[in-house]
Amino acid sequence: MKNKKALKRIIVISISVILIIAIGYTSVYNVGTNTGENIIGTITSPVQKIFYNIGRIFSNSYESILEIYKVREENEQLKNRVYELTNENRILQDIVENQEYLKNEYKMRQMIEHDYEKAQIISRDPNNWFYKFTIDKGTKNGVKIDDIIVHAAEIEEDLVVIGLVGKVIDVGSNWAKVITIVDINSSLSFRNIKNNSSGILNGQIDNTINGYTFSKDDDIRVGDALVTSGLGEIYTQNLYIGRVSALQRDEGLTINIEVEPVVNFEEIHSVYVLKIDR
Amino acid sequence: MKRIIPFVILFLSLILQSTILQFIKIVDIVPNVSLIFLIIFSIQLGEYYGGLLGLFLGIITDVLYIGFFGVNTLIYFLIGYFLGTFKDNVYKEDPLTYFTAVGILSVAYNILFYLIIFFLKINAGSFTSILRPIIIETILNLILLYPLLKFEFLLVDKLGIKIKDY
Repeated sequence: MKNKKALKRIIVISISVILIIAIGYTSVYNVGTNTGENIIGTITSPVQKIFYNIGRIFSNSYESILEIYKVREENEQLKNRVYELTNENRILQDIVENQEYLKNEYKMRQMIEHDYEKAQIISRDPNNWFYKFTIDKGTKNGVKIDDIIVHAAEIEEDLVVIGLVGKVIDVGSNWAKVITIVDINSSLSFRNIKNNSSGILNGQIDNTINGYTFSKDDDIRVGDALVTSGLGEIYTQNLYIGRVSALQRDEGLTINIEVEPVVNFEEIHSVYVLKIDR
Repeated sequence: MKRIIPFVILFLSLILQSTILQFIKIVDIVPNVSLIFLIIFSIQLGEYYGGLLGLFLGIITDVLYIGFFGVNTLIYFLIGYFLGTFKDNVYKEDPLTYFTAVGILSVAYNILFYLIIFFLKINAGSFTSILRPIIIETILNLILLYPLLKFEFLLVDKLGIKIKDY
């Protein structure tokens, strides 16, 4: 009897030690996707997709009942907004066309085109610690690790990127894990559209983004639009992140900022994968 | 056959937690249904099954949702095993036993999680910033415990499972 108890204790302790070593090892070295992981992911992926869609249908119908009266009013507002934007766009086009260097810059920005793939979110992190989700596309569809995930709209076979969502960190045959830019493991470098100053952004535990500028003399203001800078070799240039919502200048060498992302991560259900050739 | 039922329930609860429950979040927090079931089964089935169920649930959670392996596996394994050692010393029909266990272990799970990712140098913020999510999650878990417990008792009744079977 005593022997049995001692044996049990040894087994429990050795399992714990093995797991602690596994945590340390896999968190430092990116071991990639192994076969076991791929099999579990491949089997559960369709199941998750069904359950996720059931949840979505219920919440959609609940919301559409609530919003049925708002739709007409919103439609009217959106139409007016389109007129306003078309007008603004025409003026800007006029300015761009008349300046040679702006014309070149405009062409250059337009030329950045990648192969893309539409994907659906099939599950989200069951814990409240991280902000990751799984999508229903994998190596079968040409998705690779470090591919960029964006929220976008497909208009006349052209992809209009609305905002940056995150990147692929793990991929199986019909699934891929995505880490969002509000996850605590995420960090990226930004560029301020207004004056090209730059800095670093990190995800926070309460699903917001905080960061700092590289220099304390930067002329950064609340409301400034931030895009990816292209430094760091994962995110390509000029993907829209969000706007500065608060900033704090203290004694240090940097300015601390808080960013409100343009994408509402709770409300997106499908995303686009930009397949980047590296 | 009856022995795999707890495993199936744990797996389904985890899938529900990552899919349908994501749509009925309360103040951005998901209740940890799979942890509740793990606690219920561990109290009823003892340390051997508790540890095994903990390992199973942890491995699935880590593989499916976490970028690196082991955090959930370790915590769930320890919870399942040590709770199971109390099997013969608690009233298994009394809901208060389960309420106490869920209350304490929901907090313990999150604090252990915080400690581990703190030592992995993942920037999880200050301790005060995680108090709010922990408190909300614990309250949600306690609210959900009663219906889940009733469901489990009913299931045990309907299937005629004797706890001695395990």
